[in-house]
Amino acid sequence: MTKEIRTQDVLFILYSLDQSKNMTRFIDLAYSTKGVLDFKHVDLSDLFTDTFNSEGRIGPFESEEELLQFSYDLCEQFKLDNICVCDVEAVNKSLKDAGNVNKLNDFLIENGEVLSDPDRKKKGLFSNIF
Amino acid sequence: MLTTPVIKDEDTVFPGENWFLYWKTSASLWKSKIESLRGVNKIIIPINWSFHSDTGDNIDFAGTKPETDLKKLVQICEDLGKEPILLLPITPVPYLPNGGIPFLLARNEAVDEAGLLNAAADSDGTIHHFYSFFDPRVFKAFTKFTRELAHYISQSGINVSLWGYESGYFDNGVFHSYLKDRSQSFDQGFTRYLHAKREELASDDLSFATKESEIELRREYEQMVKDLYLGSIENDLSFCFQGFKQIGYIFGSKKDIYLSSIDHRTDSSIIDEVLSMLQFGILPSTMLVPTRKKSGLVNIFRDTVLGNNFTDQSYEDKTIQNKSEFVFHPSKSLSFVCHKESPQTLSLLRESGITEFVDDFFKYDTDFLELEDFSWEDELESSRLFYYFSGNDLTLKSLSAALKMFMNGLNVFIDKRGLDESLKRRLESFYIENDLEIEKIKYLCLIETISMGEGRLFIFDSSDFNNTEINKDKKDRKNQFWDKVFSSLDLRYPSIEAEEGLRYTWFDRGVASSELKFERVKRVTFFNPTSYKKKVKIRYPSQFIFQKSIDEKNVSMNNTTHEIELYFLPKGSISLDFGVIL
Repeated sequence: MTKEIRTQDVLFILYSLDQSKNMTRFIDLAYSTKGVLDFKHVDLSDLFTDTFNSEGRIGPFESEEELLQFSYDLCEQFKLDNICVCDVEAVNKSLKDAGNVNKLNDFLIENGEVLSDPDRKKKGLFSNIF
Repeated sequence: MLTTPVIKDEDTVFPGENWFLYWKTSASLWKSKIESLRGVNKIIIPINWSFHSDTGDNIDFAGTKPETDLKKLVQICEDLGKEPILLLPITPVPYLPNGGIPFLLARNEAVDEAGLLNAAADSDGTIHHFYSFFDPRVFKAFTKFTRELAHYISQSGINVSLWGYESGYFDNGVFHSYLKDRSQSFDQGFTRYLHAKREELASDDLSFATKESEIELRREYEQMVKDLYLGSIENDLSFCFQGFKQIGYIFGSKKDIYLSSIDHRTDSSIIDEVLSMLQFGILPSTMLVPTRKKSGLVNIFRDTVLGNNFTDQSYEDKTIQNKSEFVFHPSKSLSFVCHKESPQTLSLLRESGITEFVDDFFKYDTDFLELEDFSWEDELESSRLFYYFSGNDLTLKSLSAALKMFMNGLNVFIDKRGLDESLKRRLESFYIENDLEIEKIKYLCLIETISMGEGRLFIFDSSDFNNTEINKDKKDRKNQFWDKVFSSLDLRYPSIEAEEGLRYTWFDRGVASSELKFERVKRVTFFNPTSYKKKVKIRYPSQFIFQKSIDEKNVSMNNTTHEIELYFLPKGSISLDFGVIL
């Protein structure tokens, strides 16, 4: 049986491909129910040496694997249960399916890729980041 | 305990800034609804294209649905002594399904560069997707609509003002229009545009191949399409057309959809967004702000900053001299007259150090005026103290306007950085022709100042800042430069030490016969949107005479000679009036 995922236990990561930068991937927004992740507070050097903050987003990631690895690292760093990684298709489908912002995050979980980190500790520095 | 917020009917039909959404209530209730609006002069009526036409082809004005009877609506407003103002959008709107286009035309979804759907969430949280205005079928239907609307208005004998408007949101000092998209329709249209351009140039011009030129051409194409929509209104409705507005929606960005899903917007962020828009001449709309957020301090802020006076002034008929001198208007002491949407201009302003200086010295008291629309004659009666022109933007016409302003007693700054050589020569001949005495001061760069009557002209070249020893501690040195410049102007201006988190804004009005000892009356209104106690200290010069405090809420005041201290509780606010002697 699949464990039900609660939106309050999820860090949502929305990313897109940038045509002008060789179709590399950029994270446009990361948030949880506690707030929006301020990229300025993400210690990139510990997570991913070639990644940088640019124009309010994080990237570039050459492949989906890189982006998922980064997201997984974020999950560990911020001691979260789950990360929901959504590409443009997943976001578009969720926007259409949800119809209202109240249901949007449920649909992102349904349409995005959810990574879980069962070994994490409950309390962490996540609360200081938002 | 969680409770479901009660949505008031007034919020549905009157979502803010005196807008009346006529399709949201029965025509039989229009009169009682509008009657309930006390103290309101202008009723803003945004025309809902999709409500008048499902198909884009058949258009209903009082034919089938009684709520499409604009004549009746206008008549009710007039009977109640209120002036109706019609608004017609030239872009998708964020508060209507499909962005407000007729149902059958909603075929080409508008997407951004990354393919993400263009959308916005309304005050109920309903997500509305936009459809491309680059779709030729949409444009064709729009022109039909403007023609029929013009016919209906003229045949019905409706006497009403109409404005075109572009919807969008404001982020990081830039207005993002909802017109912009990268849909299939856009791509197809842009390809046709490129072909036409190539034929026009009759060559395989290599400049088409560069990325920069393509970006520039895309902008050109967008502007052309925008002009086509606007032109359709201007041509068909010329008899009632008043002008064009850019309306920025608070909570109107895509990011706001997700922020709304987690209810993560503070009062401070709402206030900041409104103040930023006003600084750039964008009309803010709070209609997407959820009802539960439109309370307490946000409500006080809306009433103060975006209230009836603001609406009246925003939609003033330029052909009628009805501007009341005795009503408070938003006041700006320093205006940047420039291409306000040009990243290069904004970057040059930042590099000159002026924006950082005024952010402190004239905090919340500056704005940006678009050079293209600027008319210097309109400024002769203005209460603005200074005008700043960036040489990079100046043409012969705008340089002449700046010089005429100086000759008419206004204070003008001109940064020669980027100024065309021929204009520099024009400036030299202006000195000679008028036999002007130039005072030259060398401090970080050569500053030329000229006085004539009450006017002062201040000319310098900020590119010199990069060639001197000031590269070290650049920021401080530039601040010192501007501090010296404004000190030399013998400027008397209140100094405000406000704790972080406080916001304030300035207003200004002329004087009544009982106040003739003053030149103007200035009002500063403070808001504490935080959840903490805050303090502010105001030191005001002898030219400022403190008159009174009004609308005090959760604030206490200590007033000594030329100094006022205010102690705010969370969500406190107050207005202070000063008579100004020049």
